[in-house]
Amino acid sequence: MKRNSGLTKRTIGSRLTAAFLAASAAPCLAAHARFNLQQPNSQLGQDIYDLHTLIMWVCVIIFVGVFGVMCYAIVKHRKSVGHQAAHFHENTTVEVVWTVIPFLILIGIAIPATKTLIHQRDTSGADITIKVTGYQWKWGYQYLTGEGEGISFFSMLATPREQISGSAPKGEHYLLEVDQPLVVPVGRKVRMVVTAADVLHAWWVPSLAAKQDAIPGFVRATWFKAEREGVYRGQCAELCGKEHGFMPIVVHVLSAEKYAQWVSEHKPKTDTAAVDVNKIWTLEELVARGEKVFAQNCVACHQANGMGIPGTFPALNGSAVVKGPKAKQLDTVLHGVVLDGKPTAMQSFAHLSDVELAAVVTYTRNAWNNKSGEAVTPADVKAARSKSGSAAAPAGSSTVASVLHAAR
Amino acid sequence: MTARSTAMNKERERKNVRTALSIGLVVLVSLAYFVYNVWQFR
Amino acid sequence: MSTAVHGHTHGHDDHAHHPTGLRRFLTTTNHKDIGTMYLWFAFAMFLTGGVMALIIRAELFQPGLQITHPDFFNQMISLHGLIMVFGAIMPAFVGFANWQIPMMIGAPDMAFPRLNNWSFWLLPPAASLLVVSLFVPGGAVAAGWTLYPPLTVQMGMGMDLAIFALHILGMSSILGSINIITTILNMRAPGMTLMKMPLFVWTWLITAYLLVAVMPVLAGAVTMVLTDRHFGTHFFNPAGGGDPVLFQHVFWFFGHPEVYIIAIPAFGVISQVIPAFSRKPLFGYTSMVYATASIAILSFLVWAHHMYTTGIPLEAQLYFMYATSLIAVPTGVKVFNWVATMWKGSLSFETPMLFAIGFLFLFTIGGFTGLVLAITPVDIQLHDTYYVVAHFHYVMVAGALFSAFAGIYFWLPKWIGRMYDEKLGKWHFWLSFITFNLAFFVQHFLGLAGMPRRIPDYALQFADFNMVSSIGAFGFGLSQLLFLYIIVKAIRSGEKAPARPWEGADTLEWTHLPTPAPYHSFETPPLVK
Repeated sequence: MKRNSGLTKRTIGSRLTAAFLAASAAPCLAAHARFNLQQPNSQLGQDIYDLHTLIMWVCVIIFVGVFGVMCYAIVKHRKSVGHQAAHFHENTTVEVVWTVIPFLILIGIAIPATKTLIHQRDTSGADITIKVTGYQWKWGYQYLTGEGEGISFFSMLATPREQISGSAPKGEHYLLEVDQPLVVPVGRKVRMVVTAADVLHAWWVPSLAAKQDAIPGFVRATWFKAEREGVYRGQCAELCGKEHGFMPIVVHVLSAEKYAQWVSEHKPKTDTAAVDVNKIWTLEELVARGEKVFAQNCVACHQANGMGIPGTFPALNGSAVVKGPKAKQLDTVLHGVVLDGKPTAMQSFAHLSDVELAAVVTYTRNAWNNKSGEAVTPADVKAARSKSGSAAAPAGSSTVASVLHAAR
Repeated sequence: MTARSTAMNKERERKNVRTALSIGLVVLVSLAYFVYNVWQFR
Repeated sequence: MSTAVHGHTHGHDDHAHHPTGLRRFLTTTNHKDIGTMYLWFAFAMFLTGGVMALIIRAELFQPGLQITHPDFFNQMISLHGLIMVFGAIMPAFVGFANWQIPMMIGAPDMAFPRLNNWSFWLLPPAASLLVVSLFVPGGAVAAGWTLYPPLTVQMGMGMDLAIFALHILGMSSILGSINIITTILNMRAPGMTLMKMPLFVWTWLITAYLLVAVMPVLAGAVTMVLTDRHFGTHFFNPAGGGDPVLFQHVFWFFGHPEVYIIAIPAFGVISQVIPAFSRKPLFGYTSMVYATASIAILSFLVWAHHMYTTGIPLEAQLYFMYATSLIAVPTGVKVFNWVATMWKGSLSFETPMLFAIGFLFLFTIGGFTGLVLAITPVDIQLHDTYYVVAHFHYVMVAGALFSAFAGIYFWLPKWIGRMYDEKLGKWHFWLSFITFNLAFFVQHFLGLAGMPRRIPDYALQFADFNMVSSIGAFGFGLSQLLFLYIIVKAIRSGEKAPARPWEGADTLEWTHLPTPAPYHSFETPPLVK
């Protein structure tokens, strides 16, 4: 198969549409279809869109044909208009005809479907490779190769809890907004290598025609090549537990220049965590920071009032672990809770930075009725980490080379 | 009860049991083979 | 089809010697009693699963979390699926099999009456395990009815209860199936050759083989989950060298034939109802038998079309796409045959026929969306969206459930000797038909536009269709209370049914038995020419 044949064959229509949209649409290009697939933003997406349209028309024509005959019979061959029943009940010729014709139609559908599928599964020749890791319940991104290599961050729901519970009006991008979007350049082939840290997830952006299950312990790949700048939104598409509906994906597609600028702004940022460690934090600072970390990572289960969900998620307010020695609580957040040899919903939060962990632990030890007045410092976290050997790097410890090798 | 029992002749009951046992045997053998195979993966 | 030589009629009255009250039903070995119990059990489970569906739709009525916690929402979607598939639809058709197969082949009862009793009484404990699991610490299984690990390994004790429930349900199905196969193979009346059997009997013979083949596979899959949870195995745990996707392969090797276990008996009911109300023999009987058998065989060869997004190799995706599309051919043959049966008939439109035509319309839509989903690149866009939810509800509800309604209205006079209220029956059909489409047709649009399934809350652009869908779902749920009223009314005060209420119905139970059918029928087999 010629990989790029799809691009050279673009119809004038889709060129015009693309040009029109590129010219008219604001940076936020939420072309939300009401009755059909979302407006595709890649050649692959367009091919799938066209394939779907073709199959729909085939189905509509057959449906109208078959049920046209049936409706005619319902009107004309009814007992109430005095129609006498015929007695035929077999005809080998028609049986053969209506076996063979559908078969031929299926071959007609299979040919374009095969072409599109082969195109879709060809992840070779990518300009940029990004590893995406599904967590309960957020996404981790790590730029492995290409421009931006070395950048890594987490991306989680930015919609405030008050909007979900209904105590605040819902914003325009309710549930489809994140704190840190994935950023990619326009017109470049981006290969996403997808895995998961805990349970199954699926990384899906409809308008980029990219959906891939994230499977713990395995690395799978998909790709996309955005044709227009803008903001594209998607969601986790595989049930991954309680907050499955609350882990959206937002992709910012930027021009080459703006992307280069974004890369230069974000590259050094990965070192800031190290700088923070040397800072001396006061109790108030840690609690303030910790409240934010708690709101992003813990509140879904343990609740804002620290009371958890009785019978399902334990309370932190008054908890023996939170009121007990620091070491035990640090061990809990670093390694999660394992009961009877199986992991519980309390997963490891070792991917958070030392500062974030110190802040959130300090917060829980001082919030609600837990007035310990004691601060857990980033240094404490670092010490606890080195004792157990759990690294802070997001998305596990696998090397770039091994990930690239394993992905298919 | 009695009426039905007499209606069902004995020979047919034996045939029924043979049929059921042969299907059951196929199920059990397949299941055993499946368990054996899967056990290699544990 | 089969014209039976007119033998003796049962001149003597019903001479049932059986205990009364609860003991009658606990100890009965009569296929008619057991069939009745299966049907009432299925209806009770249908209402239970239906309440769960309404909780789901109530939560989704508007964006935001209003009435459920997300974890409880996930329990609802999981139990709704398990209860409807294993508790409602499957037992309903086993109920039909119990009532109809012996009467249609001229046998006095099922081959193993005591086993039959046990097959039924396994169900209530299994269903109780599922319902009780809602109240154990950690709640019921919240990983979807597909039970994918590793999420199922995180679940609480409710998961273990669900696994045991599935074991028991599987045992019940296997025993019931062996009974059905033996009955059909060995107990036919003299002259009733295989190719003279009513199509309903054929479809159940094929279904029973599917059940025997795949229920052990499901039992194996959930047992592996159980040992992973408690006994230190690592079948699905990558940290121990296992593979989460292995479960999906095993599950869908059961799961896809399961779809046909539900659909094929429905085809059988429709193949009895349409000829009866067209007053014309079924068109293409032989090709119907072969088409059903082809569907059953193909159903074993297409499981991974549920797994296109797991990253199975390209070659596998191509194979599964071609094999899946191929199922459209025999399915099409069946639809064409049904339409040809109606062609130049003398049609009348009593409630069973209305449900059969409704089935034909909506099942065909479900079949077409199935073809759309078979095409891998399109499926990758639509997988795990509301489009899939719409698709399988067209197949399961408008397919299987509508055909069960058709069958109940059709055979009710034979079973209880009384007619249902025809006017109310028609109301039930039209209310069900309209509200069903209101609830599920718009879900196609939601899925196409990108709404994932199994989410308790959604973005604002999905709000209007979700509201329409919820209104439809509540309408559909309430319409089923009308059904209950119609049945109870028919049993208590229905008009006495004539011996042959449907002039076009020509199988043995109509031609050779009085109405209502006596407690013991065909103690002397009829002679079929």
